[in-house]
Amino acid sequence: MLDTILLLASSAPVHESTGDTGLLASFVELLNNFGVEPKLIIAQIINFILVAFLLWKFAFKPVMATLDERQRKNSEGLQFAEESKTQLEETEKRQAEVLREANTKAQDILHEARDSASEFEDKMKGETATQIEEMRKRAEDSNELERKKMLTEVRQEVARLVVMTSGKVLQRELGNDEKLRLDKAAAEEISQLN
Amino acid sequence: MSSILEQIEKEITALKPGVSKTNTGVITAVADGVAKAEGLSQVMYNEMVEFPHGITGIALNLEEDEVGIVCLGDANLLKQGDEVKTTGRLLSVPVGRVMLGRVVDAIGQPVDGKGPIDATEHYPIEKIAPGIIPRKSVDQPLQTGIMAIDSMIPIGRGQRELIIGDRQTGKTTIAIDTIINQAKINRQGLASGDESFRPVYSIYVAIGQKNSTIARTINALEKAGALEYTIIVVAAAAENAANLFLAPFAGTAMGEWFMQNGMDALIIYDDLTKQAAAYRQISLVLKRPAGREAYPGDVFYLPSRLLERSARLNPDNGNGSLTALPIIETQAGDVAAYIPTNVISITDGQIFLETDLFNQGIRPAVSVGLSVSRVGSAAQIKATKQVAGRVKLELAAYRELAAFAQFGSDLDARTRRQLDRGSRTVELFKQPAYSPKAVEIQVALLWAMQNDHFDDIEVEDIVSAASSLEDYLSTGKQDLLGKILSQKKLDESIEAELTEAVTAWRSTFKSA
Amino acid sequence: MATSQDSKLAKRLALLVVEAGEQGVAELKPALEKILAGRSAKDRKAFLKDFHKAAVREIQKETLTVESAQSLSPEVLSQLVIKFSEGRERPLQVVQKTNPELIAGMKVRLGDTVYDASLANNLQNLANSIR
Repeated sequence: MLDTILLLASSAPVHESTGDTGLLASFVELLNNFGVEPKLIIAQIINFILVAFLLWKFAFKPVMATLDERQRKNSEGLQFAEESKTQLEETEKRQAEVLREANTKAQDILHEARDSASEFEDKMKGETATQIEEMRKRAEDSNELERKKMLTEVRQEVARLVVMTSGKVLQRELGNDEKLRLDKAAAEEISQLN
Repeated sequence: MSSILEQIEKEITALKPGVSKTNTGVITAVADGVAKAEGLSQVMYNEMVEFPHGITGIALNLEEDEVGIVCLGDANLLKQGDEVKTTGRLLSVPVGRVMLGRVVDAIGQPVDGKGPIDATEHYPIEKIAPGIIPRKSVDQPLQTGIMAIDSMIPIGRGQRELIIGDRQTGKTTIAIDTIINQAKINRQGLASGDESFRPVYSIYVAIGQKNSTIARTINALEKAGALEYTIIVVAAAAENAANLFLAPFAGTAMGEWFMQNGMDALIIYDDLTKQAAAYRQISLVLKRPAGREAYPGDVFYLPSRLLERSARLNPDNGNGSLTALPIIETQAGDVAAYIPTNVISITDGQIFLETDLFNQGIRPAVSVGLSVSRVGSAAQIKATKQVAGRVKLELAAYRELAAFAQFGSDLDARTRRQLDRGSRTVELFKQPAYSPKAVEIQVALLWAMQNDHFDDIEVEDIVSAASSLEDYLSTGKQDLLGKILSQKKLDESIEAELTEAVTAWRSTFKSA
Repeated sequence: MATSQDSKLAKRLALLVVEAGEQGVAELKPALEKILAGRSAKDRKAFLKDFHKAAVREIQKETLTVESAQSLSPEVLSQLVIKFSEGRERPLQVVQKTNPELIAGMKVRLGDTVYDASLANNLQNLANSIR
């Protein structure tokens, strides 16, 4: 825009003045007429460049960066959403799998438990049977022992009675001759032993 | 009835009138269960003599014109002037399989009311111990079922391992546990039909105990189904000193029968302190010279001649064995007293039980430092050796460290680890009474401990964790346990299976 | 109070007296007086008791007691006496007793050894043998 003004401003005095040497002078004059000072122009240009640079550096760039960032984030968010979706699907799949596995395992354990339970039951049954058998046997044994004990007692008692009665009978019934014979035999035996 | 008469008739006809020659004497004095008699010029030392009323006695003191006789029955029935007869027999007791499951007194007469014992064989109660040639070194294990003992102080068949400790420290419990475990193993082994299986028969000699205690013991054994493999010899506190003195010898004679017939037997003397005291009483009444603590001079010979009869015989002599677990009671933990030192010196090691440990709740209260087994490790199965080889040293180091750790607060990681492991091992070894553990379970538990599977369980939860693992293994992993038992060692495949099993268990175990 | 020495002395004295027989008894009194002189009453009593015991024992060793159900015929008795006197220097004292409880036969005692050949004993053995 400044250029156009400058051009316009510069084009006007050309028609008024004549010759090339007078061109620059007329131009300066024109500028002076318009109140344009070259020094000021240069200073303004420098100012302008400075301001432009500063604006570029401190305003435009961060704004652009922020814009870029936002754009990036948006796209990232979209991507993440996409990924989450697939992950969810995968998880669901896996969950189903684990569930299935757990079920089979539970089944297995159940089977195993059932097997060992029945095994245990059998074992227990067997043990109980043997125990009952043993108890029966023990009872029988103790019965037998009891019977034997009684028998022994009876036998001893009978023997005692027999001996006692026979002693009494012998004492009464044994004749003198018989006694003498026994005495002799006894003496003989004692002599032999000694 | 008629058969009885017939039998009597037969005996009468078979009877030959004969003459009997006996050596007799007359009682001159009776005091404290000891009778002095004159006469009896031909009596032998240790011979059985007959008093009136069917009372028997043993001639223990043969003097110039007097014989000192200890009475085995009620000496109150005897009086001065009674006649004494020699019998020509040394004191002997009935022996054999028929004795199993019975409760007998010091001369082998039944006291359990189950009728007479139909024994065909008798052994003299005093016998010379097997010499050097028929013996063999101990190489077969005798599992007590108590983890602390089987892993650290193992006992072999034919060994003599002393159980020593103060009163109320669980000495008898260890003995009963061992008997119960033998019965358990016997039942399993005999049921498996394994030809090479060797059952262990037990003999429990109760010396000078209260009748109530004996009844409780018998009850515990019967409940555990161990009575049918056990002979119980009883000389209760109220009996004559002579019975207390003789009961261990009678029990040993019964055990010797098993040993001499190629079988394995275990004998428990509970306890020998009382026998020594009874012997002291007899000796003092017989006016034998008294020595230290009024014990007679030959009190050293008493337990040694008893325990020397326990042995492992070599295959040429039947391959039998007699394992002895004598019990000695100490006063205030004094193992250096007269009788304890004496018995310690003639046994192959001792299990020392401490009151302090017992009161801390560590039961069985086995003191690791003072307990040793001099020959038993040769008898351990390889699997136990693999897992328990370092346990004793580790525990000893733990005790030492634990004492130090009380003073310092900053411990390095290694010490910390050692302490943790030690306290967990101590917990693992806790075991309630009358619940012996099978060897394969012991191996599995120790393996789990050695391989850090208990490290993340709180110390106070170890006991419940161990029992939960035991339950898990014995219900679901029978085949694995069977493998450990049959292979007798841990190879890679078994270890892998164990890892799997223990990991599976660990995921289910939740500490309280 | 040398009691053990005293009782030894008493035993020896008893042995001597029994060996010497009638003559010994005659010589006993002065010997005893000599020994007992200067001893307390308690020691005397103990000495005499020991002496008596030892004498009884020694006499018993020399005495054959024959117990029988009825009085024995002389030939049976002499047979026994001859048998038991074998190898002895001095004759045995024979004491005869009757005890009808023996039924028949006899029971002979010499010292502290008893030979029982009575019918009662045989019957008792029979009763004991039945179990």
